[in-house]
Amino acid sequence: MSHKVLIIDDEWMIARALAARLGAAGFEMHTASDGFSGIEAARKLLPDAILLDLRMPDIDGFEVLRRMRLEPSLGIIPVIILTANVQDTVRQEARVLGTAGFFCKPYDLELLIACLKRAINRKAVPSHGESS
Amino acid sequence: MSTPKHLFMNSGIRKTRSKHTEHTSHAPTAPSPASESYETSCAVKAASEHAKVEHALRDFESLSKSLEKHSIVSVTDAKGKIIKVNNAFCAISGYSRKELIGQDHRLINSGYHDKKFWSTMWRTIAAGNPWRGEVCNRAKDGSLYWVDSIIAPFSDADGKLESIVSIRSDITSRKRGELSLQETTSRLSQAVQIGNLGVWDWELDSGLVHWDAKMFEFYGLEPTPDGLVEYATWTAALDPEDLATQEKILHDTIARGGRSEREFRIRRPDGTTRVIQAADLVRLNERGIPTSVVGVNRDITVERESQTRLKNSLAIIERQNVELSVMAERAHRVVDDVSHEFRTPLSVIKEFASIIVDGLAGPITPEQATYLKIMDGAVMDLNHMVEDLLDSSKLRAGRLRVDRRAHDVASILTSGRSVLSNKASARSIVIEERIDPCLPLVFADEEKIRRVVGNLMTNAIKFSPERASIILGASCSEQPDEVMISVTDHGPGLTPEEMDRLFGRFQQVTTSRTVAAKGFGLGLSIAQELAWLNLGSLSVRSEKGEGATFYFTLPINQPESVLDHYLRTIRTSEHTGEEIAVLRAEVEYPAGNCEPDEPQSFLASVTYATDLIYPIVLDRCDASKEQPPTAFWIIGRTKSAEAWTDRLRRTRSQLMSENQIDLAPLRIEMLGHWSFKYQLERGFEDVKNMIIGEHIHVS
Repeated sequence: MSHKVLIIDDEWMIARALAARLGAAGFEMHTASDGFSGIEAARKLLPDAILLDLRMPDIDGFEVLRRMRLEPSLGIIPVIILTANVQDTVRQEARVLGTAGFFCKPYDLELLIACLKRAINRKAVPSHGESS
Repeated sequence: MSTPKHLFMNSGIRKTRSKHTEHTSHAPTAPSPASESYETSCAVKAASEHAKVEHALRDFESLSKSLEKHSIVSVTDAKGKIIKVNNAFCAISGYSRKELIGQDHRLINSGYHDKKFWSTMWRTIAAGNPWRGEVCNRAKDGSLYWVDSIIAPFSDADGKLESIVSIRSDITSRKRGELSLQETTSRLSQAVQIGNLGVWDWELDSGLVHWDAKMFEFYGLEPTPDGLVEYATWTAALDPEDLATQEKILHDTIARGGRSEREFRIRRPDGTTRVIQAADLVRLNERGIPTSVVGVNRDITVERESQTRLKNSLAIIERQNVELSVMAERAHRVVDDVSHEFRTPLSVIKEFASIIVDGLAGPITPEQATYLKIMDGAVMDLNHMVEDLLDSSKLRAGRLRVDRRAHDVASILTSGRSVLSNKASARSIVIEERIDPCLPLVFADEEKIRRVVGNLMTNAIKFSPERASIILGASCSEQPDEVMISVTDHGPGLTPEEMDRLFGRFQQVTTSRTVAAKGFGLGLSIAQELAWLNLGSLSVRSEKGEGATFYFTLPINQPESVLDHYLRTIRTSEHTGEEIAVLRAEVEYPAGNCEPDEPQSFLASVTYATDLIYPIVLDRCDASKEQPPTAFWIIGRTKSAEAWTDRLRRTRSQLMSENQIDLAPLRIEMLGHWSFKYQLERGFEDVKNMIIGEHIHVS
């Protein structure tokens, strides 16, 4: 059974490239092009993991994250931030909000896949913290 | 004033004294044997005359003695040759009687007086009159002495000049006093002149105010003949705005009987305004009652004007400073934004190139694959340039953060391998790894090590001929507490001059940077700075034609080693903090789920590259499991250790309240702070003792 991964990114080219490569790596890929439709898609799909962009036209990634955390079914989904922003403050905020990973564009696909797999496995066995 | 004539008379009498003496000495011993009665009457008469003479003689005698004793006497002949001097003359002139007799008075001439002085004297004497004057003479030992002299001519019966008698009194000390007073007075008036001071004197009883010429000049008024003005002259000149306060100060000073210093504006008749600085002193009589006020004025208009100009310039500079920092802030943001905007298209190019390479878009030829790899390499170059630009902008502003932790060197090096191997394989360059499998953990910022290695490798690939090999090595350094990472290429190598040029720049470990060395790009100088931020240093070993080895060191993850390396690094830091402070942050992990990494990430994000965050890990009973740190040392240069501590605490609570999230509580306390300079001189002994002592205590 392949894991469902939702990409929320307003850059369709990135979403499409990710869908192609992660799809080839065995994930079931879904995309959403802004914050609100992303939350909507997450409610419908209940994906195993979400790749979330930060800068989007309607609400930013952090706001998406906060809103999802308010819904128990969405709050447990591991979120990996995928952004072109490399500022330390952003990274710190992502960490504080409890994300499963933080990747800057351009990303290393191998590392991203490894992180996705870890996040999904952790979700499957929720009681244990991961030693890194 | 004693009359010269009187003294002259005395001296005249003295001159004839010898005759009287002879006469009187004969009188009692040889009485005339003439008629008795007549004799008697004569005798009675004579007796009374005799008594008178006796009396006069006694007077002369005592006068003479007194003269001899208190005056300086000399007698010369008509030609001016000294024929007689008294002891006092010898004493004051320092000459013996023998040396003086026969000489004329030029012997003791000091040269002080001009010709006219002496010719007046001679004319007076030649006319038969006594002359009086104050004469400066020179003694035998060369010293000068002053005498009040009376010089009188004596004539014989025919009226011919027979002798000249001089009687003098020593006035040297008075004269010296006079001269020094004169000097003091002239010095004082010069001082007043040089100081450009106006002087005034206000007699309180009469109400009379005296101004000197300068005062009139300051106030632009015509001087009065006697310099007298009224108090109202001054109040009328005062700027009406200053009048009340100035009068109050002055009158309070008088009441207090003290002194005051003031500054006020005056309006001159020509309509100009001047600024006057004044000082007053109240003079009191013996009963302590003020009698007069004396004061000085100084026109400080020009000084005040230039001060105002200076103040204005300072205000302008400050404003420009603010503008500059706003612009710098904007520039940083632009760099941030540009880097952000570049990243997405770069990712798109890279991703689709990869999609084609991976065959996800259909089969491709090996040649196509090679070209796509070249494309991928170029994209990564561009990406690194963007990162370098971003880092360079932050480094320059001292705003780069580091997150140093314990890391395994081998895993850092291998994780960055894929990016580099694509670039290398496009030119058939082989990357050979020589990584010592038994290296200790290092204490470093993983991402920044990867950047340094990336930049060194990019350079090595750039300078290597096709199909050459590049060696990426990691081994123990010559220093036992360091690990060395090296990149060796088989390119053209560097001449000593080229190395000097490269490292002359490198050795200035600063955040400012000039144009990157020719052919090496920004990458190498950034690599050098990033190595420095990792508490190590970047060097090169090379010979022309023999390739080059760039290598840098990292401290092993051991407190003494990290601390030593850190202190060595900040020794040369341009960071301007005056103090070095040691803080300690204790973590209380809550029972619930929380990220063990978070506290250190937080501290790294609120401190700078020039600070050190070192985790203290307590080994509890379960040694198999990695423990999160229980506390951290925070060391850094700061302007104020207290303010720094406060800021860290505040930022922590802000982060929690803004995100409405419970983070592991951090108890941040200050362990100590010292003057940086002082610690530098002492080799940071106190800082080390504090940390190492703490460490031993903790573990």
